[in-house]
Amino acid sequence: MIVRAAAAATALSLAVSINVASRKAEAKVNPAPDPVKDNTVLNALLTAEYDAIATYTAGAGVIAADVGTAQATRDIVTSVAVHFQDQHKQHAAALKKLILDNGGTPVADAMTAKIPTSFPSAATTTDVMKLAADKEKHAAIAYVQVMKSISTAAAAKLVASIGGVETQHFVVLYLLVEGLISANDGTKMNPTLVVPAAFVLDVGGSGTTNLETFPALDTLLTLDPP
Amino acid sequence: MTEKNENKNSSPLLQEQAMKDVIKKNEQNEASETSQTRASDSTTSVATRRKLINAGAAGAAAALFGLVASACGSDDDPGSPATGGKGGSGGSSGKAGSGGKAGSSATGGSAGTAGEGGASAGSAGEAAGAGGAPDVADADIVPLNALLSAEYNAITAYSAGAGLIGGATTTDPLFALRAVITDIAVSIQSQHRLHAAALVDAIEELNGTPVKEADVAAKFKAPAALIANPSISNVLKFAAGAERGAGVAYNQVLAGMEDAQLRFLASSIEGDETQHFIVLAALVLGLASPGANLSEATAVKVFPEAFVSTVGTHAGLDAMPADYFA
Repeated sequence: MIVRAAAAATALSLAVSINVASRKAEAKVNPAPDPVKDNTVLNALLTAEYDAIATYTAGAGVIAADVGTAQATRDIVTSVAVHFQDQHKQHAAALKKLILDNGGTPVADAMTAKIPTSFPSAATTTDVMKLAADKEKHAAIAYVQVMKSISTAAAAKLVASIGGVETQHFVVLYLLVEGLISANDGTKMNPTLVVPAAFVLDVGGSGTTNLETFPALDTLLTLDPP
Repeated sequence: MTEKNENKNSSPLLQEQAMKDVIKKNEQNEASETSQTRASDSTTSVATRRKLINAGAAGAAAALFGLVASACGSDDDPGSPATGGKGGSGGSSGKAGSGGKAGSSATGGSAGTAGEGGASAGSAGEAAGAGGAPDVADADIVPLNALLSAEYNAITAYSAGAGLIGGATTTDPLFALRAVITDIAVSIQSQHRLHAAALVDAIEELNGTPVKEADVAAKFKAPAALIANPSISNVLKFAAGAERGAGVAYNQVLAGMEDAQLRFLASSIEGDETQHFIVLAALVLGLASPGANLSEATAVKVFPEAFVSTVGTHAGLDAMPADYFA
């Protein structure tokens, strides 16, 4: 009964929407779809992903050497950082694939982190989290701003699917740094659930995760019975 | 349920197949976009693409509306598509995936979530089309209005949620945190208001007619599962599920939009919804704890801005917070 009502209602809405769109919509595709032009933007984003991956690698080294911070704290931060880094690797792979699909050539991985000059030479675990928060914030902003020039639906879908995850990385790191949230045993036991999916939508690729379809998350967020 | 609508939807399986067909066409169009639009972009192909993509986007937007409103459905009311067919038990608190993808709405506990949304999005379409739009309306108005409806639903839902939290009993495990949780919820709600304002501006710039908040709010009903157990944890789960669904739906809708500036707007909001989702989920699922610096005074800092990138007069994360390392 529930399924029937849902399907029926959604179908009705879809029919109304299609009718309106077909009857009254005017052509206005701006900019005109051009996958080749999109590749320039996609390659810039790919460069940023490579930088993020290298930054997390460099950060892990700093954390490992930060004997002034409790080992338990360093372990949790490292496990979350490794998880975030893995998601950036998935982003890079998806960007590379789309660039290739568009007939372009993906940029090479410089495998070097761009570290700001103000980053302390004797950095702490907290400094690494601050640096990562900065990078994630800038990435999130960039993924949104390039939307002004992205031309194809496929690129827009992928770019937004990644950008919506960078924002999650940012806010988690930012809140930890600011002391507005704190890690706990749940973080330690389930670091991969802290930001559970590498993409917002299913963008293909083996082993990737997305918020759109995530049965374990469905279960976890099921309302408790009385 | 009206007779007319019963007739229209007499075969759920057929309806579901129809939705799948639309989504499939949309996906096929995305694929052809890659292979066919490099060299040329004829008027005919653009028009075809626009119609198909818009159809898919509208469907996704419809599902988004359903997601937020849905979880507000009641399984003890048969409802009707015309007036807002009721969702399920709120089982998955608004499962994002099936909510956003209309064609998969018949999956599991989240299937019910599409019920109320479907009809609501229908009214969004009416607002865009018959409710005052010019003879040749912009193709992006319908999905924008569906997103606006979802924002209004979120605003209403947070008000209802705040009321439930305020009425929590001392035995609620999160009772001690009720004040700060309420402040966070109010902060999130204020960001949804900013999203709505930006969407209204965008719709009006396209000479469309925005849906009215009062009309959307009037259809709101809290989900039966939440009413049955209005714990603070359930309020947070409900909110996290709805924010997850909103992020998914914004992503689906923006991919089908025609204008890059509107994709930018939708993307800038999407990234805020995903922040809401992950923080609410982390707290309610025990993946993080309230920090030492979290208080009623600092709750507003949890989500620094309502947009990822500044949109007009609405500040984004490029405005605040400042970098730790310049």
